[in-house]
Order: sequence, then C-alpha cells, then structure tokens
Amino acid sequence: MRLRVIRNNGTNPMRLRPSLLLLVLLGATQASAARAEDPPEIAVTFLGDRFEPTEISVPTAVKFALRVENKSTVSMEWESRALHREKIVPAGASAKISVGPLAAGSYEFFDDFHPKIRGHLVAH
Amino acid sequence: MFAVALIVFRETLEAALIVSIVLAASIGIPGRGRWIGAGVAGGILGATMVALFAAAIEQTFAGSGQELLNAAILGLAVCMLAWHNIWMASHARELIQEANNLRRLFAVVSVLVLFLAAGLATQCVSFLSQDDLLPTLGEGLWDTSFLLDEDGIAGRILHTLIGYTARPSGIQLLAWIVTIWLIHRRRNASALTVLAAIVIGITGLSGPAAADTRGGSGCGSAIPLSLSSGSTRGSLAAQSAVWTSGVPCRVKNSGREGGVKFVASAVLRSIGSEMID
Repeated sequence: MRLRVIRNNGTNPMRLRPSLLLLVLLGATQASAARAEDPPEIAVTFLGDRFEPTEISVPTAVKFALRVENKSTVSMEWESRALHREKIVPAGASAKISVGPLAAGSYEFFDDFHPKIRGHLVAH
Repeated sequence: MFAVALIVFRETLEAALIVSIVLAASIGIPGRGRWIGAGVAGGILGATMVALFAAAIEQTFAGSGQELLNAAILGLAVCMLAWHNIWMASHARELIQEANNLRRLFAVVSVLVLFLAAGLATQCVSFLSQDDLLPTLGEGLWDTSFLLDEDGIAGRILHTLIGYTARPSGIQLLAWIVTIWLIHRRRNASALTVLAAIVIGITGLSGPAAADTRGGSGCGSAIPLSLSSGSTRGSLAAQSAVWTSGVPCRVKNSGREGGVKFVASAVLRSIGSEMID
C-alpha cells in the first residue's frame, strides 16, 4: 500500500537512482576525456591600450587554450560574448581560457573594464 | 569614467530585475524589508571580500579559481531557485487560501523564477566549459544578434530574465532545457529529492568542481560558504548568498518569513569590478 502511494506520487527513489548514476558517470568520463588530450595554447597579450595581436589566427574544429597575458599595470577582464567567456586577469598575471572547437568565422573579444579595447579571434 | 559608469549601470540593471522578482515573490511576507536589507549588507560584504582576495584565490585552483567559484555559486543559485519553484508549487495553495488575487502573482513569479534558474544554469555551464570541465557541444548554434543585441538594454534584460544569448553554445542550450525540464518534472515531487537530483547532476557533470556545490542547506549557511570559497567577482557570491539564505528560510518557516535578498548583487558587481580595477 505504502509503496503504491509512493509510486503514484512519482517519488520512488529507485526510479531516480539510475539516472543520477548515469549523470555522474557521464560527468566523470567527460571530465577525464577533456583532461586527457592537451589542447594547443595560443597567446594574446594585453598592453593596456590594445591587445597584441589584435587579430588572432586560431584553428577550426579543435579545442585550444587561449593564454591571456596582462602586461599592463591595471587589471583587465578578457571577455567574449560570442564565446561566452570572461576571465579577470590581474596586472602582470596570465590566465588560460579553454575555447572551441570553433566553426570558421570571426569571434570578437574585448576588455570588459575598458570595452573600447577590442580584438578578434579569426578561425580558419 | 564613462566606461565605469556603464558597467555600474549594466550590473545594477541586472540586479534590479532580480530584486524586483524577489520583491514580488515575497509580497505579504512580514519583515521582508529587513531580510532583503540583510541580504544587501551580506552581499556587499561578500563582494568586498571577493574583490580584495580575487588574485590570491584565483591561484588556489591552479588558475581555475574564478571558473570554479562562479560555477559553484551559480549552480547553488540554480538549486535554490529550483527548490523555491518546486516548493511554491506544492505550498502555494496554503499560502493563498484567503488571498485569491495573489494566485496570479504567484503563477507569474513562478514562471519568472523558472526562467531565471534556467538562465543562470547556462552561465554556470559556460564557466565549466571555460575551464575545460565540460565540452561546449558546438559554439554559435545560431546567431540572433542582428535581431537583439545582447549588449543592448533589451538584450540585457532578457539575458537576465530568461538567459537570452545571441550566439548560444550547445552546452548552454542543453543546460537551459534540462533545468526547465527537471524543475517542471519535479514540481510534484518532494523538494529534497529534486535538490539532491540537481546537485548530484551538476556534481557529476562538473567533476572536480563538485565539492563546492554542496553545502548551504541551512538557513543562511551559504553566506560563509561564499565568503570562504570566494575568489572572483562579488556579484555571484552575493547572488548565491542571497538566494541560499532566503529560500531555505522560507521553506523552513513555511513561507512566512524571509524573501530572498538581492539588491546586493548589483552593488556588489559594481564594487567588485571597481575594486579589482
């Protein structure tokens, strides 16, 4: 009787468990698969008034890591709406941002603290 | 100077929207002003801490501190919103017994909270894929920036309210759909079961980020959590602190108390950005 009531309410824990387990396993395999390969690193430098280079050539169809080095004396936030990426890089520090795989095209980025300073990743 | 003003305006707009939802959701609850005020104060404190220690904490996870903290706090906020939504669905009837005209309000708030949660979930998975903990499942599934620019005011408002993204990635779309589906599916189930499912789901998907999304089940316990694990911008910490302390209190006290407190995140985000600058 009790069991039937539970089942009718859709809260039977037995029904929930396999899907949870699946999620956990899925996450674990994905995380380890992502770590296994070492994606290539592409560098961009922030100089306070501009990015160097302003236009960065990147590969298509593979994942890569963007290494943002802040050589200015102020903090910046590397941000790209097209790529849904944002990362604060303190003055003198560098940061790594995972990007891609990308389709061919141009992806704008900017410093969120000085939004006029912009650049593009060009995937081809 | 103008750039800074713009940032402040943008973040304030975002927070103001959320505060509005919170105010609507907590209508008729005694002492909500006090709760919301406390949330603001807690948020400011959290943001200040995060701003002050941003650089140091960023390095504690081998350069992934920002992503992990942001994702954890966003994940927590999603859980709390989901909890709120599901709880409201099962208790709204008791709450509005005599106040018939509140029914529509609750229905609207419920939808707002649902989409808010889905939107935050898309941000959460973005941070995890930024740290290579999740695949992007394709960048730029479509591009609607010609219709509605994400940086414009309307785009900004929709971004906050429903998670509008002009060029979404596959993982964002997936997170958005799964969040809504999970909440919707579980609205009749017990809140705890749902919470557990979501936490475990996020935990499983985010791998090492997992540990951070746990905890904070008690009244206000997320505040110390956000502070102690703090790293990047104050905004998100504030948001989480606010939701986490607010929603469980509501549940615990049968909704008679505590709205969620949110003004915080606006102030915070601005303060956070400026202090780091």
